This record gives sequence, structure tokens and C-alpha cells, in this order.
Amino acid sequence: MALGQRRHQRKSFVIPKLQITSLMDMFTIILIFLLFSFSNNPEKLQIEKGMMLPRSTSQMDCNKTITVSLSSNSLKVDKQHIADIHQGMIQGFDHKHPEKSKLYKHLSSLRYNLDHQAKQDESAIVIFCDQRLPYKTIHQVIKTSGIAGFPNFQFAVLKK
Amino acid sequence: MRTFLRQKRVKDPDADIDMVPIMNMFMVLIPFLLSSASFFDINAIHTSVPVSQTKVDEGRSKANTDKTIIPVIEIQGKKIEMYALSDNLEDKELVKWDMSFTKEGAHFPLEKMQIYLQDMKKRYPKSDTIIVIPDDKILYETIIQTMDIARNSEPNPLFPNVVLSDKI
Repeated sequence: MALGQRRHQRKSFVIPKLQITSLMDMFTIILIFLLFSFSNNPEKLQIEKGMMLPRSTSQMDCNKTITVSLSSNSLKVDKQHIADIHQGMIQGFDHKHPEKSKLYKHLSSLRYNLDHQAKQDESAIVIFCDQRLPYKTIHQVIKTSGIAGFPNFQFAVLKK
Repeated sequence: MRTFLRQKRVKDPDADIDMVPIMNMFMVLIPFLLSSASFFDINAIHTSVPVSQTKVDEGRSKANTDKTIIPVIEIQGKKIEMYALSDNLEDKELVKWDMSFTKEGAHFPLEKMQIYLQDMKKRYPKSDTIIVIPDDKILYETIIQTMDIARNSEPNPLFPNVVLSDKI
């Protein structure tokens, strides 16, 4: 008798219905937010860890070809380490003879490759520079880039 | 008949929409969008360094008879020196634009500088180039702020072509 009652109780058990309305709402909001923040610029630019970019009112997009990254302790070209920076000075850089520097040699080879690929119009360099660096450091880089055949620059900034 | 309809209405279970495929789609879309989303907006300030002029360029600049002026901003440690250069104007006219703005506390008086540049642009509307010459110790952030003031893209652009130079 008792067993029969228990079997009857098990049969009448209804699977609880999961309320997913709130979950759906949350997902919809996240989806809309992500769709809006989805960049329509196919170029993906990454900021180095610890680097503080200045804020600007500029509305122009970056046209990425070559990226020069100037942080407080290193100089990189397209993620390749070129030189260390110590107290605002690029190590191994002779400002009287910038054409002897590793940066010049690297940029010259890139210029040579671009010329051979007939990509002269896209020869701007995007400079990611820490806002705390003095002009002395930036000047060494832009001067060398100019000599190496890249007179046009784009300073990467964060939107104000 | 009425009782039959009432009974039928009572007996009908709530119509459940199958949300599982939509949830599946969300579960795929959200990680994809999260991985490709950029949470900071990177823009660019286009600038250049002075390059040696070719003969063709010289001919082109001479053909343009409209009077233009090139303001020069020298950012020094404690002040901003401003003056103007031009191929079409006389020295007497250019001297009028010599001005100096002393640093107020920790900041440069960029608003005053903007008024000066607006005045210059009003007088010579064809001008679009500005030269910025910062001192060695001037921070990059200050240079960008000065460039913002000089370009002033909204609503009327002042001097959109910024050239970074060294003191000659």
C-alpha cells in the first residue's frame, strides 16, 4: 500500500520550468552593447601594457602600416624590440648620426620593401607614445623616421 | 456551445516559445563579439616633419597667389612664443603676430593662444599649416594639447596640417 502511494507520487512529479526571461533580457542588453562597441575599423590596434596615451579631440582613424611604440622603457617597431629607453634616452642612439642607429636600419629596410611592393601612398607611421615622455625622445624617433623615408606620422591618441 | 468553448480555453496550455536556439545563438555571438570588441577608441593626429622642397613644389606654391601665413608655436619651459612666417607678406605685417604667453601655474594659457590663432585664420583664411617647435623637456601630452588647440577641428578647423619641427 505504501509502495503503491510512493509510485503514484513519483509519477506526478513535474519538471520545474526554468525562467529564462531575465537571462534573455541580460543577453539582449549585452549583445546590443557589444554590437555598438564593435569597431568598424578592421585594423586592430593594441596598446602596450603600462602605456598611457594622451587624450585628444581628433576624429581621424589610424591607417595602420608601420607601428612604432615608444613606452617609458622600450622602443619597438611592429612589436619587434629595437632599443631600451632609459630616462628618456634611447640606448645606443647617437643623435649626431641617426643613420647609424638600429632604428634607422630597420625603418630603411621597411621602406625598401614598401617601395618594391609599390605601396608608397600608405607610408605613414603610427606612433604610440607614452604621454609622460619628453619631446627629446619623440624627436629622435621622428627625425630618424623622416631620414629613413617616412616623413608622415600619425600620433595615436585616445578619444576625448 | 459557449460552455464547450470556455472549457477548451481553460484546458489550452500556455504557448511556450522554444528559446533554446536563440540562447544558443547568443552563447556563440557574445564570446565572439567580446573577443573582437574594442573598449577604447584610438584615433590619430596626422602630422609630418619638414622635408626638402623639390623644384616642382616651389613652382606650385608660387602659382598660388592667395596670401597665406604659417604660424609658429615655440613651446618653451615657462612660456609659449608665437610668430608667423610667410612667402607673400612683408616683415612689417609679420612682426604684428609676434606674441608670448607665459605659463599660468602648471598649465599653458591655451585658450588665449586659440583666440590668437582664430584671429590669424580670420585674416588669412587660406592658411592651413602650422609649425610646432617644442623644447626638449616638453612632455608629449602638452604637445598633443597644443596640437588640438591649433587644429581645432570642431566646428571650424584652424590649421589642420601640423608640422613638428626642431628649432633652426
